[in-house]
Amino acid sequence: MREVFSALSQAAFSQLSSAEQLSLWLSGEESNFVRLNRGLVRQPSTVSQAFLQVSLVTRGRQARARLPMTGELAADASAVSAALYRLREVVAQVPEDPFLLVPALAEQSEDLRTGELPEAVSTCEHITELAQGCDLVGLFSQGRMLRGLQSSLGHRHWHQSESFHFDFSVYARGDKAAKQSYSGTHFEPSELARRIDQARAASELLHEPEHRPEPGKYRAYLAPAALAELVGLIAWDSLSSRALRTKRSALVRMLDGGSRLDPRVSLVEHAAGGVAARFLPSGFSVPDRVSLVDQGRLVGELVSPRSAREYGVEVNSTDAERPTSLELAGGELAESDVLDALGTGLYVTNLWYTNFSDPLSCRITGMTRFATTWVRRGKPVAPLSVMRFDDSLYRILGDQLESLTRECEWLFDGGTYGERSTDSYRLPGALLRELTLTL
Amino acid sequence: MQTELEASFLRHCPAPSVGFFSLRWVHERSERLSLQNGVLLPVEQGDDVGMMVTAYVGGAVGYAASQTLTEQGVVRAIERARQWAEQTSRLSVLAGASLEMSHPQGEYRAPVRRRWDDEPLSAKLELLREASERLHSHDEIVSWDAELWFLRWHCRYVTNGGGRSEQLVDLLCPNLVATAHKDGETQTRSLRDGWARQGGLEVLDDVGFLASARELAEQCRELVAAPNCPSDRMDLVLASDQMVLQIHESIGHPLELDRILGDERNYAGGSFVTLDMFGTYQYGSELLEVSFDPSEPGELASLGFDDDGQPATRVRLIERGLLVAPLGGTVSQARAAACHPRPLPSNASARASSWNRPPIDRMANLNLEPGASSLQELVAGIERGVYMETNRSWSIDDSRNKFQFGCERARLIEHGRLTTVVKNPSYRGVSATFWRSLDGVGNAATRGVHGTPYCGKGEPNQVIRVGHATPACRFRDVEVFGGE
Repeated sequence: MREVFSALSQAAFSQLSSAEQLSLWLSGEESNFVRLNRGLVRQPSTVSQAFLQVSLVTRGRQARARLPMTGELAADASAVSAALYRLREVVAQVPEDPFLLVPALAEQSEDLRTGELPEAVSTCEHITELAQGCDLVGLFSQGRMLRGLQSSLGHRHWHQSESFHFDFSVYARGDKAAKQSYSGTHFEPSELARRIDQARAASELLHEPEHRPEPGKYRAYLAPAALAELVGLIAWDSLSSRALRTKRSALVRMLDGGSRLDPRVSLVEHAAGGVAARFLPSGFSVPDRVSLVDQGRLVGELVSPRSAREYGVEVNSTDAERPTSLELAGGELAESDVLDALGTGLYVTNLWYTNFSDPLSCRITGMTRFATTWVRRGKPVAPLSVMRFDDSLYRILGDQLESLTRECEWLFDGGTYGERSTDSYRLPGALLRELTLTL
Repeated sequence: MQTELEASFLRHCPAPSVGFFSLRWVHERSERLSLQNGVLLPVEQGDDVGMMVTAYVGGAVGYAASQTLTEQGVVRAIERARQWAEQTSRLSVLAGASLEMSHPQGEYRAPVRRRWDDEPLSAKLELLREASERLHSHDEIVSWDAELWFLRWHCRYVTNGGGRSEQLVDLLCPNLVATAHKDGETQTRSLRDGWARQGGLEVLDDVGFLASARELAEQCRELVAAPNCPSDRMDLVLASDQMVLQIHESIGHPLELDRILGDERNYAGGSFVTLDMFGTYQYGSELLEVSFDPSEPGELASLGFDDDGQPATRVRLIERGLLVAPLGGTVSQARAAACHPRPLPSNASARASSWNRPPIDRMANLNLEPGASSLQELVAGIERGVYMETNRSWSIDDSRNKFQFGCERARLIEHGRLTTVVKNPSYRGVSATFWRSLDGVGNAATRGVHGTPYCGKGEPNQVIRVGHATPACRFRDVEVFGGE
């Protein structure tokens, strides 16, 4: 695929006039997906796909086309030529783009991450064998992912990785389940067995009668996966330069209203610590680290090439201005001390379906889910009835934050909308003096 | 290409005695034109084409998807799908289900009055420019977006039992968003994804695209200066562009049979609905009438067949408030029949987001039937309440019960009349009881044809288009609240 990508890029560049710049971005994967339910296979599939984004710039005007890449040079080169023809027609009709920004440096990079992936069918057999006697539901995915960029300015980037991700839950009854995942590049059957056993063990308590607290304020511990739901919501559109500057960000009061989070909260986009490709379709590369929140204060923003040009700042992010490798710094609380520190309250393993209930106040609502439990005097005693919370991030990670765990968990995004995600988070757990439950 | 592909598939797929094999070819073409604060973003054109082969062999299923649409590519996909089915047959959750897959015949073409391609790019950009200028009617408008997203979806489905169907749909997603900011307050009004429809440029007139731009800008300025929605239990009237979300989240998803059968529990969630509720469970008041209706012209998910080839027809799911049928395609129906003594009615719900994902149970068009009341009559029956418009926030538990939804704009209802505009309106409730508080259903004049292009579900994840046509509705004694 790499050779074909390179050859068809060169073929396309040879068709350009001196006024034209062209870039080709490749995003592809060869994936096996096995969907499981009741410890058995529901839908196994193999997906082979690759897409090209062809971007043409002519005298400050630009247009883009997305098209499939089959890996057969003649067919792909012909499709790119046809796309180039259509894009020329478009750029002839559009005005000059005042916020077009083309990278000054034509960088080159290569990042090859070879893994040891399990054979898909035998892994199915292994999982169903390990899941015997338990109600396991989830998705196993594995395969190779490709990202490439070539431009007529001289960009030459290639990123290739092999990885697997098994995201699953072991159900005890009804909506009570223990969720687990196992991701990586080198698959170990023994580790798979350990994770399934761990989920099975964690589901035991969930057979107990559930505790149904009244709406009100409760001490709570948010495990890293639960915190990821809150941080993920903020990451969607609130750290964006454009959203902040047009006042649409939920963090706008941190920008110009004097609001702040607890001084122990520091949020960094740490691309060097993630697994996503470091180069962007625009030709820019992202820096190793972008400090976004430091000691509770908003100090940075995620800047796309357009925003960089419009607002006169440096590019550090994708067109969408969303992080790919977000990290929240750990604190002082040892994970082994969490239950004692919590005392009596909610141990929230997972949150679900978070959304803003009052964006300007950064008030977020959502549900508890999976193996969230009621803890009494440091001991988990009952699964919690699913409960709705509605509280402000300025309280959750502000005046109600008691401590952050020392240990941070590396959480891989198992998202597969259109293609397998390469995003990840590194997050601690958060112990809260109060979390407001409303329903 | 399609004809050669089809011939290759029929030449190489095994005989029906081996199992059921189908080929689903999908070609999706798109164009997105966006103005952000009056500046044109790069025009984006999309071309996505590929195929999925499905094999049902030995009581199991396998899928293989590829963009290599050559004879060799088809042979590889058939082999891979067959291998999956054969090699997982003793591990399959489908064991015991008696599957009879469809061999459809026919075609579906969405009606189009003004074709997207017939209008030059310059005219479409000029229209957007005018909409953008109308949105930016005042300096308090700090962000304003105008966008047209066109899609043409073309699908051909062929089976090894002689089935062959073809579907062609044009659709348009118009978007207008205005954000006003003043004295530390920010408010947004929009006409966006919920207004997407099948058809061509006539959709813009049908939804009042250009005409609504200035009104949206004025309304968000008005909201910036408005008081917060009060917090209390009170009566609630929901406009059609909020009812969409209410139906989608608290009727549509809970009735999906694959959720009820547990497939979604690791991701999108299960359902508070169980198989034994069909035919016995009072979902809502007797005013509640809900249909799966793939035949509504122009609605976003109208179709002739689902992606397992089942012909699509209108089916009533809730009658006089009584739950009578789920949303389930052929496979889910067969699985449910294996563990439920009474057969459940079937409908064409198995749909995939594209060629690279297998079908799962989906809503298509899920509509709430209009009643007899005008909006004035719905409001007149309320002493103290709120009228809410346009969804802006949505959240519901994984069994689709405890929900909380927020809207862009609301007006108080006082002594039977609409009065003060209020900001940040939200309400919360529980699906299982909320629909029983329905005590007024708007007439056809209050009805809106809406939908969403972004319904997410499934592992691997899929985002799909669904339609919802609904009148305004009145609910009694709901927990309503505002911002801080």
